Amino acid sequence: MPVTSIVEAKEVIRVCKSKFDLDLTAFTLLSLRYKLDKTISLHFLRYPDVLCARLMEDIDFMDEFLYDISSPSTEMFRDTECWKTIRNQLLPELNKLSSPVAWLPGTTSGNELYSFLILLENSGFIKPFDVHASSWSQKSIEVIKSGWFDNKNLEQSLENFNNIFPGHDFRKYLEFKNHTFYRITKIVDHVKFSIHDLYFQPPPQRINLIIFRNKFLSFTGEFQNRVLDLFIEILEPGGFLVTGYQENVAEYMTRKSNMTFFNEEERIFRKT
Amino acid sequence: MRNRKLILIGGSAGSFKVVNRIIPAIPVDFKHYVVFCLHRLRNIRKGFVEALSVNSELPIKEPLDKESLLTGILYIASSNYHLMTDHDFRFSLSVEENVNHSRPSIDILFETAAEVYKERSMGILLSGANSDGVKGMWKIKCAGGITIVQDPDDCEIPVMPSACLKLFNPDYIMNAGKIINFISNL
Repeated sequence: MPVTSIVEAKEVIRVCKSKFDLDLTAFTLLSLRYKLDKTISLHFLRYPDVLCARLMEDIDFMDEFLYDISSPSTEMFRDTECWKTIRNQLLPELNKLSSPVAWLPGTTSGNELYSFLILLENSGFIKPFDVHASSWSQKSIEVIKSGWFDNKNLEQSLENFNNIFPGHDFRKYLEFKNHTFYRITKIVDHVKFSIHDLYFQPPPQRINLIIFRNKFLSFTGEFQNRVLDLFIEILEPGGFLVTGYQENVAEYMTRKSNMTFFNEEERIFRKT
Repeated sequence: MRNRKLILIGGSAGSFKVVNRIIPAIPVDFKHYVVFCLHRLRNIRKGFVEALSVNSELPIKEPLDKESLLTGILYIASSNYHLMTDHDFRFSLSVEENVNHSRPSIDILFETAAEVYKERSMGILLSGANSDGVKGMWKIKCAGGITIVQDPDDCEIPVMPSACLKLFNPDYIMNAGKIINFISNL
């Protein structure tokens, strides 16, 4: 169980609201407590009240805090069946558009973004894709742009890639590798990055594809539905929303008259 | 509802055979909640539930995030997701880093269940090759729940139960047959 108690988590919520107008009640308490545990451990803060003091005293720490409490994907091409579905079923549909727009909100580690870009390149997708990625934290964006990844999940990423693209060589993307980190070649140069708050302000364009997998897991049901409503609103008719296959969004989504399952097993929805 | 226990069964290498014996022994009208957390291959989503369902009288399900916990269903943690129980008696899932090289982690499930269900939690730790689940069993014990460890001599791979026995004395050490009897008589 998380070390941070419910009372302590509520105090962090109060501090973030009063000092930064940041409403962490979007997170389930259980999820937030684990995230606070991680933050406290990473920064050697020992106790939640020390974290609160740090947040109060050090304004620059907030961006770091937002990075720490984001929900990262730990490897590239996680859930290979989903990526195969995107490649085999979504991309041919999107290829019919002149300049499709994709948005990856809440990007944290870059694993999902790099997976998508590598998928596009290896799928022979010829249309110029307008890719937007956004995050709560400037640090996330800097980390993603740098192309550095933690080496501990490289093996899993390679296995996933080989599962999707047998015969292709992932090593062509590996610019550098040691025991701790590896670096992917610059494939994010054309991606448009932006910062958003907890409410995921979308890019100005209408969107044809939103990839937001396993990020609802951290949120309360109420906040999840609010974000789903936003995504539905900004999707172009015919556009896709890709969620995680164990996320509980189907009941809400199928009640919407303008959303249907595109692929039920992979929890991919399409706006009609 | 208050006398319903949450029975948590954790296992890794060598536990599949025992799990396959436990499942058919759980009667249709079983009044307790049952959740399995078994280490499994990450990218294989299909086949596991189907294989376990062959001998089960009850439906077996990988719970979705925020799904309510019910009796009459045997729940099994999905591959590549941590499974937790939340204070609203719903499941909660996460894709955070592996714990004890495992996702799902038995520790994560057992610890969160101990916090919510306290003395109504019952942890059963089966055969396995690492020490995942040991901390969770200890939390269940501390919360007043019942702890049962498969006898290491009865395990295909005794590392997991042995690690638990090194940490504390569980309420029961049983072979697979006795564990099955114990569960079906609850």
